[in-house]
Amino acid sequence: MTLIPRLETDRLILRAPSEGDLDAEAAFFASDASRFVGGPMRRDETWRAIAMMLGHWMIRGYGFWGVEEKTTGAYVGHVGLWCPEAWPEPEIGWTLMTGFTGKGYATEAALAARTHAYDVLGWDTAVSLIAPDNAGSRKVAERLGAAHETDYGHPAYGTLQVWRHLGPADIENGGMEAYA
Amino acid sequence: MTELRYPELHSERLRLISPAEESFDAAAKLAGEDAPLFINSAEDAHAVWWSLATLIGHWQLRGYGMFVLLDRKTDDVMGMAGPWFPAGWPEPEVSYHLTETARGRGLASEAVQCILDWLFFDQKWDSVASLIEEDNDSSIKLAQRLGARPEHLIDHKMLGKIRIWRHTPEGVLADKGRVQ
Repeated sequence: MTLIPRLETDRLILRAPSEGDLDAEAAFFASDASRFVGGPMRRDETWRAIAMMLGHWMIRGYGFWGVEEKTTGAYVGHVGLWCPEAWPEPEIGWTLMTGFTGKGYATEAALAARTHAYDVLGWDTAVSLIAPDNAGSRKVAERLGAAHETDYGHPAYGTLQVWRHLGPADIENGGMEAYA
Repeated sequence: MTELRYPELHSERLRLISPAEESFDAAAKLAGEDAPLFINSAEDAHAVWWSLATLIGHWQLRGYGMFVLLDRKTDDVMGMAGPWFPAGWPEPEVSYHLTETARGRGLASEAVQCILDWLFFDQKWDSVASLIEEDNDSSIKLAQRLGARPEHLIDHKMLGKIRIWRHTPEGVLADKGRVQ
C-alpha cells in the first residue's frame, strides 16, 4: 500500500491530489501562466496529468501533493517531490494557481516537501528544475536557499535551469536561519 | 492516509492484475528495458513511463481501469485490457491491447470476457461500451462474439469517427448460451 501522507504548515494543508482539483487545474492549464510547466493543456489532458501525479506516487513512493489554504479550503496548486522518467534527478517542484502567488505559499509548501524528502525519505540532496524565464519560480528557489548550478536539456521541455537546494547538513548547521 | 487495494481476476490462461497494485512492479514489467512496447505507440521511454503512471492514476481516480494481462504459467505480460474512462471520454469503454507475441490465440476474447463478467456480475454495471473504428474488423468480430450490439457513430475529438458498441449482461449471457 502506498500511503500519501498529509502534511500541515502554518497556513497550508498538503494532501493527495484528487479529481476535485480538476476545475482549478484545468483553468490554470488553459491560461498562459502554465507555459513554464508544460502548458497550455486541454481539460482532458489535465485530468490525465492528475492521474499521472497519482501514478507517480505509486511508482516512486513520493510525488506532488494537492495544496489547500487552511482557512478557506481553497485549492492553491500542487507542490511536491517529482522524478518521472527523463528527469535528471529527484526535484522539489511547485506550481501555484493564478491568484495564489505572491503570498509565500510556494516557499512554505516547498519547505514542507523538502523536510519530508530529507527526514522521511532520507534524500541527501534535491534540485528544482526551472524554466530560464520563470522569474517567479526563481525567486522561490532563492528564498529556499537554492543556487543555480547548471542547465539540463529536457527532451520535451527544452533547456531548464537546475537549482541545487541546501542539503540536510546545511540546514542542521543553520542554513535555514541564514536564508530565512 | 489513503489505502489502496484492487481486484485480481483469473481466466483459463490469464491472471489479470491492476498495475496500481503494490505487490506488482508495474514500472519494471511495463516500462523497464525488457518491457513489451505496447502501452504507448511512441518508442520513447519518457512517454511510456508517463502513460503507465496515468494508467495507474486512472485506477486511483475511478476505482477501476486497465488490467495487466499476465500468462498464468510464465507471468509474462500478454497485454492490457479493462474499462477506461478518462475525462473527455463519452462513457466508460472496455478496450484491449495485446503484445505482438500474444496475438492470434484468442487471449483478447478471453480477457474481455473475464472483465465483462466482473463488471456485470460482480460490479453490477448495466452496460459498457467499446469504441471501435469502422474498419477494425477483428475488434468488431470480437465485440459481436461477446454479444455486443452496434449503436451510433460518434465524432470524438481524440479518436475521430468511431462507433459505439454496447455490451450488456444479457449479451454476455446469450454468448454463453445461458439464456433461454
